[in-house]
Amino acid sequence: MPDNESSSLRKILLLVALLLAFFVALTCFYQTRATEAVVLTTFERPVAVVTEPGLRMKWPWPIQKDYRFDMRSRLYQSQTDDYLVKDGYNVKVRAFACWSIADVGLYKNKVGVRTADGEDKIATLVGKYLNTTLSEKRMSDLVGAGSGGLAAVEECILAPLSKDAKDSYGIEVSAFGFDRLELPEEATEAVFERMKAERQTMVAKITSEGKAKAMRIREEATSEQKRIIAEAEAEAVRIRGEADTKAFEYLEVYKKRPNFALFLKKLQALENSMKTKTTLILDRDVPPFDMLSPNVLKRLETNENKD
Amino acid sequence: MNYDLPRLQKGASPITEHTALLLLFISAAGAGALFLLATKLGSAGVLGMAFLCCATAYTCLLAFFHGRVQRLAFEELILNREASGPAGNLFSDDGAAGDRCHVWAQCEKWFIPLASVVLLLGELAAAGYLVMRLQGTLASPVENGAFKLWQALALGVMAFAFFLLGRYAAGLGYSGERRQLRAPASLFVFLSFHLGVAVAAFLAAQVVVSSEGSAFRNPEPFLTGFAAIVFGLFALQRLALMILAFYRPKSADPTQEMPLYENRLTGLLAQPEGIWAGVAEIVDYQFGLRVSRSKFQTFFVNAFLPFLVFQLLTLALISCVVVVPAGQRGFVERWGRVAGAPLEPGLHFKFPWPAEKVHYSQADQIVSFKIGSFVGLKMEGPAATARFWEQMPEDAPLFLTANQAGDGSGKAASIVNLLAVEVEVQYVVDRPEAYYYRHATPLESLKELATNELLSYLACHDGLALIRGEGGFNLAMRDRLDTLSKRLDLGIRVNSVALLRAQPPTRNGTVAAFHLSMVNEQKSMTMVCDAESFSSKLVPEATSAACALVNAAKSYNVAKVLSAKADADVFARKYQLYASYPGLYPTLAYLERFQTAAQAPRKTVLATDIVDQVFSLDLKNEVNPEMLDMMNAEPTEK
Repeated sequence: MPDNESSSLRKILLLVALLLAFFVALTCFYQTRATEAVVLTTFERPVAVVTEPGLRMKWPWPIQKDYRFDMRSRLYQSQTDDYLVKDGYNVKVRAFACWSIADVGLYKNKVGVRTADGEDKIATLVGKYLNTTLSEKRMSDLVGAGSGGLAAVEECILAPLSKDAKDSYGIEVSAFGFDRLELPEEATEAVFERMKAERQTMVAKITSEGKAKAMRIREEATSEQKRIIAEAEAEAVRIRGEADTKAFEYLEVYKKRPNFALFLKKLQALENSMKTKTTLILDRDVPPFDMLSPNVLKRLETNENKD
Repeated sequence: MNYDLPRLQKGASPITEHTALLLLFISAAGAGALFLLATKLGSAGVLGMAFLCCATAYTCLLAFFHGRVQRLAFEELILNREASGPAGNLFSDDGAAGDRCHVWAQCEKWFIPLASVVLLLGELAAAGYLVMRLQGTLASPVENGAFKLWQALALGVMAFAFFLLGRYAAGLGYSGERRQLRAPASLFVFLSFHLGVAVAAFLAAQVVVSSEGSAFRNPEPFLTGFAAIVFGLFALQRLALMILAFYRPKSADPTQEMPLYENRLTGLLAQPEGIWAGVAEIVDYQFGLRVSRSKFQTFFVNAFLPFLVFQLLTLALISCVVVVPAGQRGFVERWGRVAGAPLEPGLHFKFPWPAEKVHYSQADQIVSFKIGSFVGLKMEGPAATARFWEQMPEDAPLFLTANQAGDGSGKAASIVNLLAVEVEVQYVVDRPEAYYYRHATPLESLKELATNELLSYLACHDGLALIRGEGGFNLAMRDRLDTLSKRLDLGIRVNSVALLRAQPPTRNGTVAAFHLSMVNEQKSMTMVCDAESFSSKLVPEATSAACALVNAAKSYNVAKVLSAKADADVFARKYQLYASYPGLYPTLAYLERFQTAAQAPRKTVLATDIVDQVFSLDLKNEVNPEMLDMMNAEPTEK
């Protein structure tokens, strides 16, 4: 091998060695983020749990290793599964849980170092408690205006789930809930049919109710009208009666001179009766037509002389 | 071809084999590492790079065998030359060429082309596989958190090491006797560029995801597409070279021939200065400018390392500048520890990477998302612009709601209704530090909580009341969701919840049944409205008529009393007059009245002495003027 080529290869190997040294030096430092906790191990034996963020030193790899754990709350979403409730129905349920690592040491020992491992454990617990809890609940406990609703069922699951996860795996479950709740296909079809039938019944009911209500309103209105008119007429009669009574009080005056009163009334009647188109057939002696009598002047002279 | 002894001795050195073997081990190790990384990340792009590493290892293997066969042939030639004298042709049947030379010749003729065909098939298979992966869904390892920064660093170091090794091998392969090294060298250099591109893509996606940007969150399609194109181009150019190899004349010296497994495209990358030198020589030859020996060329070649350092320093300086976009907050982490208060939007300075890093979180801006039956559904045609009940896709998920009109049997079909709903939630990140540091996926958590609350609300409320717009759904949901957000410390304030849509399902004609009932409900309401209108008209009319009656009676009352009183007064006065003038008053009064009465428009006065005669008058007809002449009528006997 020529010298220059050998020298070139040596340079390359030196560079590679420097790179390796750089990498080894890099493994002497580890950094903990504000969102993380680190479990430091010496030959895989945990020696420290670091939760405070910052840059620290350690023995190089493979003597010491730093295992990082994201301490932030995470979301777990289960698959949609069938569960049997107490009254024999099976419901399709999908649930979720918010979880985070509470005890890093326990988590590493019992679960592992990957987030996915934690999700697997949560999935197992969620499945277990869903199964046991839903098998004790009726359909009406899940859905129904009178029931405690899903919130009560979720509470029933959250409490043991959280305790079990914390004790067994160092995981804290802060929230649990359903995000899907469905009936099986056959039951869904039955609900559709029932909803349709209910609507059809409602059509007849609504129509008859509307008619009845309209009729009742009309009848009430008519009845009210008649009552009002009747009351008004009665009132009018009463008022008129009062008027007549009062008017009769003034007849006392006539009572003292009845003939004169009669005379005046007759005059008034005469006038009233002749207001319309009237044809009068009168004797010539009826005043003032007696003036048409041939001897009226003689009678007047005689009377004048008498006076 | 005659070989001089120094050349044979140079070609007979094992440096080609050693280098090829070193490259083979490194590329095989690299391929293994990349396969592991691809499996860990679930990344098709990294898998493409692993394929390329495999192709490189295969090429190294070919180069090793090729170089070894050639070296053995050269050693045989040297021995024969030393034994028989300076004459001798490699591929002639003279005494210089022996079995090893024969094997070399057969290797050039059969083994190398066949091995190249295998390589071509491998490249085609890799391109096809990557294209197939491209047609599927490629999850982003950055978004799902599988990608870590140390992996980018490792890829970058691998790229740097590959580049150095490639350049070293390319330098060795510059000599014609070690030409076999050119193929792996060029592939190593290309692989280093490919790795560099991957590192850049992953880091760019990491920055975008950290700052919650919307563009380039997933580098996978780009990297996979890039690898697929690379393999496609490699296969094409190899096929073209094979076809051309049939037609072009062969050189007598096989060491001057380009092996079929060599890649011309990557060769340009391995020896880029060759392009410059070639161009410079053309300019020298054509124009006599002596560019090839110019100061510029010298500077270009010598200043590469300082230039690289300058670039790195520039990058470090750039990393000191932080621009926080509007509507976001920046969190400076010094060696992982949060340093100081969150950065407001604007220009800021920090220590260079990696001492300080900035993470971004959204804040201030009101953002909304939708949950319910219509999320993720693709609306096409009229449904995209108008939302009628009938246009809801049949496969839209439905929500179970309580049925208050249930028959009390407890059967599922009786106690529940199914409803499609769409709800919009508006929120604002009011505590960015909690939003970013306490939850890995706060928005997804909020969406799940909102969906859960919607499910819970509907499960214990009559869903049909929602369709009719009854109940305080929006306020109740907002309060419940906001309380939950605070309890879980999401750093989010829920501004409003709005029920955008609630409708019955479209399957089995349920919507049609609802429409029918609604039409009838409208008709029923119309009937009731008509009746109420009738009632509202009739009763006031009756009241009015009643008032009129009563008023008339009251008027009568007043008039009657007053009239009676007036009559009494008049009577009293008249009687006084009568008492004063008893003989005159009656006659005068009578005549006055008669006169008044006789003023009627039409009257007939008959004055006759015959009082016991009867006149027959037909008064049915209008009285004729002739009647005035009744005085002249003939009287008839009774």
